[in-house]
Order: sequence, then structure tokens, then C-alpha cells
Amino acid sequence: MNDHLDGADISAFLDGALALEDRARVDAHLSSCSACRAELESLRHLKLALSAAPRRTMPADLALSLERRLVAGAPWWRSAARPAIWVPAGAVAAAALAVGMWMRAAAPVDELPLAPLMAAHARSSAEGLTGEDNLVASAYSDQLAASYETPSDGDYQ
Amino acid sequence: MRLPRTATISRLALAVLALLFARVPARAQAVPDAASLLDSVLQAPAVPYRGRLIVTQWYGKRTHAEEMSVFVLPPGRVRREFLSPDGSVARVAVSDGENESVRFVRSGRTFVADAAAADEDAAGSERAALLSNYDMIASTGEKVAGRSTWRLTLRPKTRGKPWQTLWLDRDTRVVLRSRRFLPHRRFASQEQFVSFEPRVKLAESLFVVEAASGTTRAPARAPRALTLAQVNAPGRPPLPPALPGGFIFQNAEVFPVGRRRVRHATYSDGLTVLSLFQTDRPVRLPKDGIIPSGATSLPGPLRASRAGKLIQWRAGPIHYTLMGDVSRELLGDIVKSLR
Repeated sequence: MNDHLDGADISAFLDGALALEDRARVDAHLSSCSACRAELESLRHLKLALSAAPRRTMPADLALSLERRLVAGAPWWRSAARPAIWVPAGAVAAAALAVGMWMRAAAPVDELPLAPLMAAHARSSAEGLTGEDNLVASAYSDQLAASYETPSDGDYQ
Repeated sequence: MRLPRTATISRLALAVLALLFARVPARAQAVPDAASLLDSVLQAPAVPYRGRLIVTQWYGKRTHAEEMSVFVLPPGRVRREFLSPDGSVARVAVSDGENESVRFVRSGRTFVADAAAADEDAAGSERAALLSNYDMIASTGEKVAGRSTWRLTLRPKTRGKPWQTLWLDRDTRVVLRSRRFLPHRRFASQEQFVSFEPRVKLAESLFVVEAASGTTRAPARAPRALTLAQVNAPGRPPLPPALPGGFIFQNAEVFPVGRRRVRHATYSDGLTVLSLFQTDRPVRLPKDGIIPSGATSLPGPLRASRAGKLIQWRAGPIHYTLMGDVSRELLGDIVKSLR
């Protein structure tokens, strides 16, 4: 199989954030694609590991001690050259990069799903001269179901 | 052996008579005029019937086919049973004229919505749009599902729009076959009865809209009644009353998708419907099915879908998505008029 799911789809599937139609599509693909199943498991483990990791807080006196050093007039390059500063800073940067990359993959893509729009179009077309083909071949009712999975409150203006 | 002359003459006379009689039924069935056939298509079925229908769609390099059983009981009651490849029923759509339900057999879920109400004004404007945008040709059609037909071809007056050919049952005027295609293109759809039984007795229970537990009531269709003035909110680029190719604004709706609102306007030439969506976020389009734009200037990739072609572009903070079954050249003209 050449076509694989992309990371955003797998992540959204894991988060239960997919629309009904997309969920069914991803589910069907996963049932037949071992590579994507492995990707899913990998992402699941990553999320579990991140959620279980201890949260370290910055020492309360770190900012104060840095400020004191600056006020004392020590050359900036001297403190910057000390490994004691670079090791935690590097660790924080690496962690931030890792979390950023994961969040990019895991965050729901800021795009709207196509299914509700297709359903709206199919419904409009079905009211035309001969709507049977739209009702059936466009899987109108699947899209109808998918589009109504979302809340429908609020005004329409 | 040579036959006597009188015998030969008698045989010739018999043959001529046979030919004459054979032509009498054909003469009695003159082809109706195209406008009368069109009126039959626009009217709701007058007789109950049941049948088996196969729908095939070609889009891009793909083909999709589906089969269903259809039961119709005038006025307004329709039941469609969508069949799986093994012949079992996958989902059932029922309309009693006021409500319609879609039940998914496997999951047991049912969705209920308002049925499309017959709108005489809309039918009148649809007829006027068809006569304005299409040439109508009536002729004798071949048999469909073993029944004699009249054929009505709708030929667009503007290039780049689909042709539609309809085969109407001579007896009941029900459309037995319908084929819609863009000449020399890969976009087409066809629906065809493979069996058709008119004037059958159908049980009323077939047309009961389901309201079992677990039913989800879909939003009413009322929001679609928005006019152009209502949908053209201040601060948004206004939607035009017409698009190139004879497409006239029909109606609009605003519906929610998650926390976002989608503005949907439909344009029709009487036969082909175009949908134009305005959103404040891009729509996730399929990654495949990209159609080469050729010499047509388009603001983004054109994709093949079961709703016809799809294209998306952005103008300021507004994202536009246009879908419909027309040529890429005509779609290019339409997009150009909107940008």
C-alpha cells in the first residue's frame, strides 16, 4: 500500500477529534495497514510518556540570582560561557523543541472538514431535476450523518 | 421450382399488408413535444411503483456504483433501500412527504430531518431556467428495464456544462434512465432502473419515518431560506446574484461546523447546481484527485470529487470553496468573476 495516513489524521483519531466519516476512513485504513498501526501505537506511547513525565518547575531563586549577577556587573560572556547555564538551557530548549514538534502533529489542524460541505451541496443538488444520483452516489446520507454529529445550536444569522 | 404467378402476387400482397400493419402502432405513438416531456419530469410521480436502480458515477479516473431498491407511493412517499454488494440492506431512507429519516442498519443509528417540500414557485423558476439555458430534444428511446421509452436530451447553450439525457417510461412518464455527462470528459453519472413495476400495491408501513430511540433530529431546513440580502452580511464580500454560464442565485444557509459558521450559497441554471462556501478557516480538501488546470488560470489546485470539481482560494480573511459539475474552463471563468 503506497498511501498512508498523515500524522495529523492519526493524532486526531487518537484524540477522538475526527468527524464520523473521517473516523471510519482512518479506521478502515488502520485495519489493513501495519505501518500506520505502528505509527498509531508509537504516537499513543509518546502521549502516554509525556502525560506521565514529572513536571519540573523553575527554581524560584534562579531569576533572582541571574539578576544579581547582572547588577554586580559581571561580564555577560563570563556567565554565558559557564556550562552550568548551558546544560539546563539546552535541556529546556530540547524539551521545548520536542514538545513543539509533538504539539504540531497532535494539535487539531485548523481546517474545517469537507464532509459537511459536501452534504450541503448534495442536498442542494438532490432538490434539482434528478437528485437520485446525488442522493446515492455521493453517499449523501453518510455525509448527512457526519455533518450532524456536530452541535447545531445558535442562530443562523 | 417456379411458383404460379397468382401465388406470387398473393404472397407479395400479404407481405405489403404485414408491413403496413407493423407500422401502424409506431405511427400511433408520435413523439411528444419536448416541453411536455420536461413537464412530466418536473412533476411528482402519479402512480405507485417499485424498482431496482443502479447508480454509477465517473469522476476523474474513478468510478463509483451503488444499487438500491426504490418504493414510491404518491403523494410524496418514497422509500430507498441502499444495498450492499451481497444484497443486504445497508441503510434505509424514508420520506413521508413531511419528514425523512436515514437509518444505518449496521450501527442502528437514525437521523431525521425535514423532507424537501414541493415548491411550485421553485418548480416554475426551474422550468424557466431550463428553457432559457438548454435546448430540448425529444425522440424515441430504446427500451429500459424492458419498457418502451421517450428520450429527452437537454443540451446546454453554454459550453462546459453537462448534457443530460432522460429516458421516460411511455406509460407512466417515470424517468427510467438518466445520464449526465460532459462531452469528452471523465465526469458523468447515470441512474438506471434494471427492474420497474408500476401500479403495485405498497404497504403504508413501508413509508413510516422512524423515530426510535437514539434518533438524532437534524436541524430543520428553514435556514436554507436565506435570501441574498440576508446572507450578505456587512463586513463580508457580497455574494453576486448571478455567475457566468447562466447560474442564478437560488438560496443560502448558514450552518455550524464545530464552533465555526459556514455560509453556503447555491446557484443553479435549472439543471446543474454550484455551491459556493464562505468560511473563516480553510477547508481540508482531499490530497489526491488533482486535475491539471491546463490553460485555465486558477487560484489553486482543482480536485475531482463525487460532488464534481472542487476548488478553494482565499480573498483577505475569507476562504472560498466552490464545487460543481462543470468544465474547468467554465469554473475558471466563475472563479475569476468572484475574485
